[in-house]
Amino acid sequence: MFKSIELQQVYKNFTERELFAGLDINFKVGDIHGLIGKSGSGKSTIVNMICGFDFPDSGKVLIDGKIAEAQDFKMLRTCTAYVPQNVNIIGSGKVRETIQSSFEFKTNKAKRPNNEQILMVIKNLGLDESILESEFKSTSGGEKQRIAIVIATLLDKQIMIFDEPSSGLDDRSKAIVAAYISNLRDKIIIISTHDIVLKEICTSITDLEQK
Amino acid sequence: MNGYDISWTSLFIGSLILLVPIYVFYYFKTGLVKDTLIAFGRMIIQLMLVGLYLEVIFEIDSPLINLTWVLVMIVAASLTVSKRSDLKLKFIFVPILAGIATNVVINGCVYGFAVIGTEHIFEARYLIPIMGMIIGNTLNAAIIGIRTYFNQINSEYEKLKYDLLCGASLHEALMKFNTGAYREAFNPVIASTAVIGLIWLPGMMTGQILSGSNPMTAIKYQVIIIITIFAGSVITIFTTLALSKKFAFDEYDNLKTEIFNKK
Repeated sequence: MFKSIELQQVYKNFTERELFAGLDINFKVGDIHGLIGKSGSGKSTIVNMICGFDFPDSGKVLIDGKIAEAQDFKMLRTCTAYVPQNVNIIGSGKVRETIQSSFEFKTNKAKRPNNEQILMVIKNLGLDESILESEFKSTSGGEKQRIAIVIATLLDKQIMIFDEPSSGLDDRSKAIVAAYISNLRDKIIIISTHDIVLKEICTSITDLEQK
Repeated sequence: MNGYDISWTSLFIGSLILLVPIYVFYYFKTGLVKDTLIAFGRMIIQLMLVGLYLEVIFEIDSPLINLTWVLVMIVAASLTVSKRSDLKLKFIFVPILAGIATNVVINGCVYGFAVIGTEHIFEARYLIPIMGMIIGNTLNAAIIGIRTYFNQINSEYEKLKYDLLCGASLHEALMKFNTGAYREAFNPVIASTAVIGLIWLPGMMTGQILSGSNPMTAIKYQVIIIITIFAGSVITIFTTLALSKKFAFDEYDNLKTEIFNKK
């Protein structure tokens, strides 16, 4: 069980522009940590560094206080659920197939949800159960966003990363998603957002425009 | 052999039909004219050399020399597939070499133990034409399969990362790209295999019949050649893609973007 992920004195340049200079962040169990900043401020780069998809030019990424190596990142990924900014990539075929496809991976097979569990999460996120038989590609942006959250929720991992989870959502759906995330317990939750509703549920915030 | 021989003049006149594709490629500015001329020039020179070689080699018939020739074919084929794959040679050559070599070894065993017999398999008149057919006819599917695989990974890399973050192992995350590669490489082969004998007659069989062989003998050879080429193509792609993981991904399971040739 992971207790913390830490960025320590991280420096990173991106296309000859200084993105971070001595960035320190500590993501802890029980926190809902908001990464706030406009587009290009480095929110996705931080998410990529936490997951081992990108690396600091200098500085450290620590997992449970230990400098993270390749195996640690791989282990961390198996304990992560991720809602990407571009939700179009997550599915093909029917929505039900999109949801079930993540449970075909060996590490998730034991968590394969039954129909009742899927329906409960779908309803909690304000979706109609008929959406399960719709083609994923034909659903709206807001519906895709919530389907991605449905998958992350059903995966029930210890680390949950939401990359702009409110994009494409109306005010009512935003409120549903915000209430939903704020009820998650005993997890490391990271939200990359610039949305005021989601900012309010964060227990700690890193404002990247002030770094 | 009592077949009708072709004169050099007839061969030259018949080959002039190549002017049609060259004109079409030129007219539509495909950029393929130079490659076509080089490819067909190489093909003619290489086949003539093989003809000369085979005449000599049939006389000598040394297994060591025959195997060396097969090795040269494997290396040349690996270089060809590597160059056409849009990937840098230093990353992809070894997996492709291993893929083609595995194909040759396995199919060599099939011919040695089941078709030709172990006492004949290293003879020049069997080893070189059979391995030439198998290696040469594997190239197309291998190029399509490998290119499709890496191009799809590159264009859908966000999806691959998403799957890794949903708990997939690299092997599991790459599964859909394997599926795409096999479909792209083998759909046309399966379709054309289904109509052999109905719409077209394969070149080798036609050549054998024209040169005087019994049609049923030619057909039996053709059947086993088509089956082994098909299986060999799958073996080549399977081995290459399985090994390419080590070369194309780093210890963090991240794709090395430097594997792609700049376009």
